[in-house]
Amino acid sequence: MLAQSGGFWPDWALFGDAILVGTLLAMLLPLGGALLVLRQQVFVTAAIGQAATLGFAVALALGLGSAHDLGHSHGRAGLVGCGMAAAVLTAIAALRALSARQSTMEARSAFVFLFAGSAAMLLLDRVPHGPQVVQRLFLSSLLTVAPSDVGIVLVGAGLSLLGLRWRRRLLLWAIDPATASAHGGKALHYDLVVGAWLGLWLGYAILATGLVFTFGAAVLPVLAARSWARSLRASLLIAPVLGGAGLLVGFALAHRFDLPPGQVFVALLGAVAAVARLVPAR
Amino acid sequence: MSRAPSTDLGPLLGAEQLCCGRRRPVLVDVTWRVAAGEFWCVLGDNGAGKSTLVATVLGLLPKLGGTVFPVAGGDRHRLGYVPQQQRFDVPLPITVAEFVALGLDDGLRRAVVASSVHGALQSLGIGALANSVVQELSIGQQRRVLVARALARQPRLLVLDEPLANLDEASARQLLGDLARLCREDGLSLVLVVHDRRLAAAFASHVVLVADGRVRVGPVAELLGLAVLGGC
Repeated sequence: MLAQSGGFWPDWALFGDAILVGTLLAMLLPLGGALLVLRQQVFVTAAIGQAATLGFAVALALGLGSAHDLGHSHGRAGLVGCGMAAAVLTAIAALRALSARQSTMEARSAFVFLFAGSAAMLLLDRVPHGPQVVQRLFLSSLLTVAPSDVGIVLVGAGLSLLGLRWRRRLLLWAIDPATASAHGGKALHYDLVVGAWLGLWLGYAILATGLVFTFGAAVLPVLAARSWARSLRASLLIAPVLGGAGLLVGFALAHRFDLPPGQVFVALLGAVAAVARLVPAR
Repeated sequence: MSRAPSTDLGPLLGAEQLCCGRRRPVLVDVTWRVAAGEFWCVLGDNGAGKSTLVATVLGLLPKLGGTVFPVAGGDRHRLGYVPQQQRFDVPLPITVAEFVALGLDDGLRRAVVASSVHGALQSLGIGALANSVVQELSIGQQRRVLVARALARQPRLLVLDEPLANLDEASARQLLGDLARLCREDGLSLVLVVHDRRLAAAFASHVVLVADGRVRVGPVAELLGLAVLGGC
């Protein structure tokens, strides 16, 4: 929780990195979330998150790092690599399943979510501070963000924005993979590239901020935006704005009432999505 | 909309001694050539293998044997495709103009995109729907939007897999009439997968008949007979 330092706005010297990283993630994750919403694979985000948690747990159980390393995205490479690899593999498998079998694989996503979450906890039950690590990765404090995370997110954001050059074919692939293939795109290539991108972003976001924040930031702004937008373009503009604004307001509220900012952000965006559903633009 | 004329004499779509199917052969020894300006209908009952044949010659399914000709003369940028299954319940609102623009390649100038989208919508008489939300249109309008997305690419070859599904006969005839006009006026080659022999006889120049694992190809009058033609 945020220590109260007086005033409505948190002390920038203490929380500046967390606010900056949180805001950037809250604005970027909805873009990946929009692709999954378009493919009707929303729950894959949660499955990727739990798979990453299991990856981190396996690395810890194998002695590739300590619980302390996991508190930072710049922890040991073996530890971070295991979690990221699990996230990337899960993302690619989910996208391939839809391309190859025409199934959103929601049942398998639920299985991965439940199995990976339980297995991670069981693996780390006897490791010092292990259960707390799993708990922290699931819950989202945002407060373990390190200064190096700012640079990582900025580089990732720049690379992601480069991907907008191919936005038309990406959206066509998300909405109508058969036509995207007929136009010459290879479904396997799309699945590998987008799966790797989603896995890396989501795996990193979970490491830096936690599963609840990551899942909420990826999906809730998109669900709210679709009720207030009358076009795809508007949806894709409104969602990041809602995400960024939600983070700033959520952080301020968390500071004011001494609450965990990740949960306040998700609760706030959940309320916004519910209001948007009840009071749509049309 | 104007299209670049065909510069070669090779088929725009087709195969030679093709064997196709999903896992096991469904159709064997299929030889079929689609030339510029021809209007083909692929006819057959449900499950006969029409969509499998078309998906294989388009390279969407692996062939089990034989030769498949390069699609649209090897230039897929000049292929327009309307799939059999298209989700219109897209979970995010999308306007007709946005939907049609998704058929275009990336990297085009905004003015080129706008002009291509406008031209495609106008050619099907749905220009007024440009700013409508696709999910709120009727089935007939949605079908036209799908065809417009394929036409926006200014294709030499347009392949439509069951574009008339769930359309009443009047809407189906209107859509086929528009496509036949594009075929005549712009030299567009058309391949339609359909069920209705009468509609095929009324509009197509050639047909592919798929039945009982056999495929026959040829001019419509020859394969469908004057009795059907006269009934339209």
